Formats: sequence, structure tokens, C-alpha cells
Amino acid sequence: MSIVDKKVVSQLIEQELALKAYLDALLSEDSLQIESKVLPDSTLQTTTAPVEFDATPPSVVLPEWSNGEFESLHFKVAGGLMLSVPLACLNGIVPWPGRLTAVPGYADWFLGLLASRGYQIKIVDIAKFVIPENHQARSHLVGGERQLKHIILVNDGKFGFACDELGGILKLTQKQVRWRHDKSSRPWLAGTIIEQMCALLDVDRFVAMLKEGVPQDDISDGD
Amino acid sequence: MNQSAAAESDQITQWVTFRLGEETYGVNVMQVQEVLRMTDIAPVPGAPDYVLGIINLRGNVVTVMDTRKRFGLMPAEADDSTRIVIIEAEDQVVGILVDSVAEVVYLSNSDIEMAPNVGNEESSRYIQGVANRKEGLLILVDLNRLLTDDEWKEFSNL
Repeated sequence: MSIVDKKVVSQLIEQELALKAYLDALLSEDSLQIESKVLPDSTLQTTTAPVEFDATPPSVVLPEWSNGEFESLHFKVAGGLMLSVPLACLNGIVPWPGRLTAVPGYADWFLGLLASRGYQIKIVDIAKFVIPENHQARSHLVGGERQLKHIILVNDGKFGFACDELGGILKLTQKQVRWRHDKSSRPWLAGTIIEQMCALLDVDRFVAMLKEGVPQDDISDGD
Repeated sequence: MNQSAAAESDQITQWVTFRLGEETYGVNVMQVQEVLRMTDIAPVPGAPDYVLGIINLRGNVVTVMDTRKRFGLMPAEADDSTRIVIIEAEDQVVGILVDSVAEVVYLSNSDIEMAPNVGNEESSRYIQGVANRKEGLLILVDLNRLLTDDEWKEFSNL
């Protein structure tokens, strides 16, 4: 293997590690929050037995679309970040048009407008939005050439999520998701699909955040 | 809605369109004074980066704005299509450098959607709206908001 090849391999490993660190932080943060909030200090002092946590804290108000069995579409963005959108919130999927109308002055996660179905669909690079600007994984994940293939339409088709790869559709029940109870950070994250370790989007909150424009994300670099 | 209100809401406006990079933009025809071919632009020492320089327009000094810079686009070499659009905004006569001037189009209000309600970017305040046309989307620019109040003041004092 040449020195150049070794460098490329080393860079790829670094990118994968950065991505893994980000995803781990994204998906595991809630369990830490639940532990710290559910356990009062007195409980910690008086019991030595391990405490079991319900995956869904009783205070969580679950979305209406999750009642009974629900279906969710997996899709991949920016180098492997796997997200899932409930079919109840999905308005359609269109192939990547190759070019969008770029509007100057907006944040880099707003890719531009697509005229379709009588709407000006606002197309968002979801990876750029959810990965904080100061996170070390960001430039690895979203800085290079992207192979965007589809646009997932939500919010009555007024917003579109650019995606690199479509995955399958999962049939889920509420118990297969670890729902988030604290939406003060990452309100766009409804919960984590436990078996696939995949982020389930809260589309309504996500769209509300897109309109507000400031992703409040506090995952640190860990340094 | 009565007929007069409906007619008012679907008022027709005229826009001068120009190209910058891959996109087509429109500015209100009432603010456009004339369109010039590319000419020598004298740099102004110490001017802000959105100022290309000044030109002599029939004895009057007109400051030319670097529109590409303002719109966050990469610089491009001037060619035969490059034009300086002389406009009036905020009681000033200024020039904006564009890749080419296309045409004058008529738009009814119903063709125009508000600027994308995405994010809360101060830098996009000059996007007035986006019009649907069969040729593609036309981005409408509010020339008065192309600069901030402080920048307009600075512009007038160059």
C-alpha cells in the first residue's frame, strides 16, 4: 500500500470514527438524561440494587401517529447518518432533480427551492441542520461531494429533506421506540428505534425548527 | 373579498431580470434607471468589500456594488454579457454589476410567493419573494434592503 493509499484509509477511518462518535452521542444521550433525572439523590444513597428503567418514561406524550402499529421509512444522509420518518408524516418522494434554485443569504442547510406540484418546495440538507456547526464530524460528513438521490416531502409537500439513500419501511409499535421525554434540546428527535439504533424524526417539530432556523444542539465534541 | 380588493391584491408589477451565476433575479423596474455595458471601474481605496469601485456616468460619480459578493457567490470574470444596472435605492443612485440582463417581465401578485420562511437569516432580508414562471423560479430582490442602514450610509460617503 502506498503512502497516499494509507493516508486515504486513515482519513476514512477518522471519518467513520467521527460519525460513530456523533451517532453514539445522539442516540445515547437520552438514557443518560433519564438516569440523572429519574433517580433522586436519596434513592441512590439508600439502595444498592440495580434500578431498571422503562424505555418510555410515563410523562412522555406520544405522537398520535404512533398509536397502535405504525410504519416508518428509513433513509440515509451524509455518510451513514440513518434517520427515519413516520409514513403518517410523509407526503411523497421525488427523485433528486440535479439542480435547485439557490436563494442567497440563507443558511448552508437550506439548499434551495424546487418548483413542483404547484409549490415552491423548500429543500433542506438535513445532515447539515442536525449536525452542529462546531461539531468535529460535520466537515467530514457534509463537507465533501454528496450523492443526493431523492427528496422526501413532508409538511403538505412544502418542505423536502434531501437524502443520499432510501432504506426500507419498518412496521413498529410504540414499545420498539425509546421515546424522548425532554425536548429542550433536539426537539426534532422523537426517539430512537431501538433495534436499528436509528433516529426517529418528529416532523412537526422539525419543520417548526426549520422555520425558526436555529438548530439548538448541544452535543459537544467531547474534548 | 369584493372585486376592487381582489384586483388590488392581484396587481401587475414589472421587473427587470438579470442573471448572476445559475440563477435569475428580478428588481422592480421603477427603480432601474438604465443598463450600461461593462466599463472601467475605478477602485476606491479602503472601501468595504461589497464595493467594486466608482464609474463616471455623464459627469456623475456612481458607486458600483459587487453583487456577486453580496449574494455570496464566487467572483467571475467580466465578459461581453456583463452589465452595470443603474438603480435608485434609498435615495441614492448606484450601480450593481450583473452577469447579464435578460428582459422585463410582468408578474401578478398571485405569481409571487413570499421569501422562503426558512431560518431567520438577517442576510436574506433583501429577498422579497420568489415568482413561479414556466422558465423557472425568479428570485425577486428588494433593492432598498440590499444593504443595511449603516451600509447605505457608508455607501453614500464613499
